[in-house]
Amino acid sequence: MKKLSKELTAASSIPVILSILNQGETYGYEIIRKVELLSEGAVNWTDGMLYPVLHKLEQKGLIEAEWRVAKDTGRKRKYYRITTKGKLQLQQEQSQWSTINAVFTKLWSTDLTN
Amino acid sequence: MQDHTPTYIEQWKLSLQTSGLFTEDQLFELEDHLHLKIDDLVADGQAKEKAFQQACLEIGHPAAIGQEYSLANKPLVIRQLAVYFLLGLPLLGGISKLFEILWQWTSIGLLELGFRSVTFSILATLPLVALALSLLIWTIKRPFWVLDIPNTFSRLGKTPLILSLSGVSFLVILTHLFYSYWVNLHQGISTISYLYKGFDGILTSGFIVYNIGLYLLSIGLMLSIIWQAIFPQAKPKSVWQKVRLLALLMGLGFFSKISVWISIGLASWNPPYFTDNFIFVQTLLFVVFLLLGSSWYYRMSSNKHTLHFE
Repeated sequence: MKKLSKELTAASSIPVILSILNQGETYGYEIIRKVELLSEGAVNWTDGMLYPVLHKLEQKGLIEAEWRVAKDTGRKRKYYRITTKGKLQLQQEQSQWSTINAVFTKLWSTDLTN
Repeated sequence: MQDHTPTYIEQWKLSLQTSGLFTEDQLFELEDHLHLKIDDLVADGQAKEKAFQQACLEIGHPAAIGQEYSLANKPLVIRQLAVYFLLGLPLLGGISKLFEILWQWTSIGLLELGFRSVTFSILATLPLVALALSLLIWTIKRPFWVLDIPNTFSRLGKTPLILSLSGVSFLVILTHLFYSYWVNLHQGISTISYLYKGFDGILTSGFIVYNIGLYLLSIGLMLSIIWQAIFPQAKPKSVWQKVRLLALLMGLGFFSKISVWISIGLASWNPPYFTDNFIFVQTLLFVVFLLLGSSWYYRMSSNKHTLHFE
């Protein structure tokens, strides 16, 4: 599958992060892996891209973070979770992306019938 | 066989730390990320050092990550901007280079000897404190030495160090431009820039404007040196003298930052040891530039073609 454009990757990054965190708390590395897995390799986030976005979301109060010692490695790890404000933002994002999705679905199904 | 990976990871972290673009928390987070990546690659059957190499490649160069992070770290960016402008001052630019090289070599030595955390930090700082004190004493012994810029520079202009530092800054511009282009193209900076508008955008623009200014000044420096070489007996007009002086001042500060970029660019071709290479190349460049500058200066001196300033 062809890689996603930078613009689309950037535009979708916040709703994707919020959606993943809505499923439960996790850490940066796991988010990248999950995105790669879900997109079957089409969306490849760099670490330098993800963390500044996470920190930005944290500053905005959409997510919160906590340092804990990871059980598997014994190293300090930063876990992120979605806040109530973040959940509201996610609802808005879902509504907007669903609208766009519906538009494309209708447009492209018409194209196919023509 | 001895596992050098912990040392490489320490050096990798150090290279991020010295950029000044990360908070302590962010460094811990990135280190954990690197470890997880290495663990995954090792689980896939790769040798640990090879896994480190691969993980570094995937994460990207410290400079590239620093740029990406800088867009989310406003206070650090502002501080860095201030530092960049301060480095534009000639003496600070040259001295900071010496400090940087001294710090890096000391750090590597201490890490190799097994020093860590607090002891490491204290010991690594000692040579810097000694150098700072020596410079302070030297400066105090010469009152107003720093303030009397034109005359000071006229005197300093006769030293090989200053001439070599300023004379070579333009040589690395093209590499820097090429590297910046590469970073922007492949490290997703445009992706992250897309997310941040407003104040972040202004900060980013500030960097660009400052860099363009430095390029122009350095090009001015290059032209003035060529002009001086072609017409050694010509009496430059005062405007040209001022432009040249300004270009030399900025060029020197610029060298301090730019040599970091050229070193990263060159060292990145051998990623597992990129920090070693990074420091080695940087020091090598410094020495080579110093020798070239010295030889150029003495040749000019022997022909009585020395540069003159107001």
